Amino acid sequence: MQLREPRFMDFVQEFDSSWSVTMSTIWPNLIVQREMNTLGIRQIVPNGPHEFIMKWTMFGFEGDDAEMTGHRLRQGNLMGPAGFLGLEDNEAMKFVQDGMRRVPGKRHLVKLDPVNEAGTADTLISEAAIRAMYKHWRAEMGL
Amino acid sequence: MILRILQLCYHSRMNSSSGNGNGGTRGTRADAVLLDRQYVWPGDLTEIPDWVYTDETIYQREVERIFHGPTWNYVALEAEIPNAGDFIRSNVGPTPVVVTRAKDGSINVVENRCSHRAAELCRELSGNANELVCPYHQWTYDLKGSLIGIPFKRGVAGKGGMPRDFNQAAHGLTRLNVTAHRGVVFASYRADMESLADYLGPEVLREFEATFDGRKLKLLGHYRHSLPGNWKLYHENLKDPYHATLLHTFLVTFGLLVAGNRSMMLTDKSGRHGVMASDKSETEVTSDAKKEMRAYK
Repeated sequence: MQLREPRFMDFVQEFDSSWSVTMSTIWPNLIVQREMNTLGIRQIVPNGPHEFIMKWTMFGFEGDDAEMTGHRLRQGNLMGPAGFLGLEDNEAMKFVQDGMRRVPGKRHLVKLDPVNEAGTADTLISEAAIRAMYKHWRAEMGL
Repeated sequence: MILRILQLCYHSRMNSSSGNGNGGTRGTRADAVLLDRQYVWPGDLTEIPDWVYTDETIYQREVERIFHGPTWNYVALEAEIPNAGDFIRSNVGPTPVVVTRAKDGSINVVENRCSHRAAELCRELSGNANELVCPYHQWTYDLKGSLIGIPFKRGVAGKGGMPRDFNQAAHGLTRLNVTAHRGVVFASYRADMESLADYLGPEVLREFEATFDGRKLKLLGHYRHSLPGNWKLYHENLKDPYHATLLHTFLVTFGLLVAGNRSMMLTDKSGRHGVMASDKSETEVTSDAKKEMRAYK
């Protein structure tokens, strides 16, 4: 498959980091998106157990020229409510909430990567970071 | 650990459920669930019970213990309030707040709730003002939340008005603890919070500073939408690199993230923060990997 707009995938190296993509989850309400050159803040605003509002703030840097700003905005189409990736995530989360509400009283699995109880993982096929979050959550909640 | 919470709606539940013929009488299994619910985590961390995501009492406890507890909550970028008098509405958990830049240049975060009748007083999403005025009875606050004006405080013609002993200084807007780093502003209900650097831990701080690298930020725009799911699912989705290679065929097709790319799922020591990191690859997806991914075309 080929993109008609190849500039969409350009990555201008501008950060002191060995990663081209980092998605940071800062507890409890912040996501910092650095997906190549598209940068964004996502603020989670919960609204009861079954819904939350996502507030996005897209940004660049003072000193960006018009071309770089255009590139950041163009690449921003990956994310957002109708983004190439965001759309799929949002839908999947609805499926999960619906599954729990409509077939209630159950539990579900986060067993991937059993050699790593909870914490940093060097494989993508792992749920150790989710387990780490719940270790913390349970302590804070007294559960 | 077991948390027992007596449902406050005991009587109304009993009344409304008597006569539906569906286990509404006292002592049945359904009643035990309604009246004295036990929240017991089943076993180890590898299974998560649904009530973590669906229960109203658990949610209320999260607001109290997490969003209003010992956490630094993102509220704004400094670039959104560059000048004295600038303000922007935000939230700490579900709680509405206003982030302001006072005349002395300080950043303040106050609850968006009038101390008179509780009205959510700041109505504009953002703007510039000398003071915050409640639209209901025009109680007026400065940009740090101090109550500076009450209309007809002494009444009219010697009648009515506020009590003589009313302590105006004690009725400002509730102020939150504030910190900022590299142009990103956080607030906390706790006065005794650790520094943001200690809160993030060295590894997550390093990634934070790789993105917020000291250049001044320029706003490009906002958007917002609601999502029909529990708020924690968003964290979990970004602590779940497994899905990225399967759900997002765009990533795979164009080499942004493929199982086998150099990648890391980092967590801080506490487990609360995470960084999903990967490096773009020019390599083709192997045929073995394609076989594992049914959505790949």
